Amino acid sequence: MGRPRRHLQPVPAHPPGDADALLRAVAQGDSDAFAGLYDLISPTVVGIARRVVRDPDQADEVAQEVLLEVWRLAPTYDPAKGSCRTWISTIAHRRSVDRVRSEQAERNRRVRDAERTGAADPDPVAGSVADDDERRQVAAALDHLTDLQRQTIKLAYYGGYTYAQVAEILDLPLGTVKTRIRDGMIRLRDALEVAS
Amino acid sequence: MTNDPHTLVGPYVLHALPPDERDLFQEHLDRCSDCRTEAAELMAAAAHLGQAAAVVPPAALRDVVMADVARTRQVAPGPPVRRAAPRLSWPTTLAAAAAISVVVALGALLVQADHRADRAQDITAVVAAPDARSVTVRGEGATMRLVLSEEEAGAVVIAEDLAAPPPGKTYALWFGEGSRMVPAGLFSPDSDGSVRTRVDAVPAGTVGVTVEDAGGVDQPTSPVIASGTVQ
Repeated sequence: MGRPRRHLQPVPAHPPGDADALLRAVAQGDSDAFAGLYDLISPTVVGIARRVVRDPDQADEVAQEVLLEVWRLAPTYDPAKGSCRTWISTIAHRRSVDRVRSEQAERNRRVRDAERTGAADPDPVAGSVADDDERRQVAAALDHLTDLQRQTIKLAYYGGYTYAQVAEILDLPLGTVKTRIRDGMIRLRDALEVAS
Repeated sequence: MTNDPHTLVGPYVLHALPPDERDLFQEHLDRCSDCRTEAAELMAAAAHLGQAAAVVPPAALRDVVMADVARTRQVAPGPPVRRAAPRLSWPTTLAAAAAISVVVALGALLVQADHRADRAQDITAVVAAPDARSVTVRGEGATMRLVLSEEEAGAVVIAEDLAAPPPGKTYALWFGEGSRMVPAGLFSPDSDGSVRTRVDAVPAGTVGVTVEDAGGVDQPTSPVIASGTVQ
């Protein structure tokens, strides 16, 4: 008798680090591929939910819904419209925002709090960082923006506020907020392109 | 470029538009390939903001999700079902028509579709205007929103789930001018109860809504059912 025999592992049909290839297999009902995809994308999904929703229990609930949604909707994913990671991050962000906006009273309270504390930059929540390179790259790209562009984008994306709420918090005209967000996102796109 | 609907693309990719403006912008995206390209690129940039927030997920989550997956059916392939395209009412004359009138009716239909596209463009222009402001117009059983822009010299009535007016009647919009109420336009909800109507006037003070005869009237003849004030 030699060493205990290990169960033979099937050779993976798709490279383990390739989210797009995994998603194509998931789209055909391959739940093993989904397990591989889970390992790649769950840090982002949980990270977005925790940053926007804040309450860790509620955030993890949202993350669970999002990950199941990725499985359910995988057959409808259209690569022509964007990468797998973009698609999944978009779902995660939309669901997180839906959760924080679902109650009018909650929404008003958050805006009042933000106005009072001048919380122009929603702080990151607790949790160990999963993707340090990405975090550094995005932080560097955000440095290319004007203060106002950066503030409006962070409040809208991480704070989950509508642009009208952002305008209220920063005491700016609606039109200014709309254009700052767009100009800032264009700069962010360009800065990220240069960095990658 | 004061009325450029493109500016909404920023808030759109950050999910920072209220539902009605998001719907309007999505209608705009269907027609504007420049905006579609820009939205896709900015969506990818927004995804980086998300990836930068990545954290180590709780270990238990994996088992929970994999168990969910094992008992959940996937949807059928193909584009996800989105809101229906604007319905075009088929001219009733078509019912009894011979081939020749079919051609005429189709022509009419195309003109109608064209008007709808123009109308949606006008609406988006007001909503996207840099000086756009929003007023809630509220009363018992009816709530709507009026988005107005001085630069666009117009306002848009936005409502959901608004009850259909009685037969032969329509909703009328009034803007206060001194002590008078001047007619600003007529509107009716579609079969879903939703309203997106642009009027070419901008209120400076009070806004009122009454129910009037379908032809329209010079001054309100019935009680105001909803009102608001421009701040």
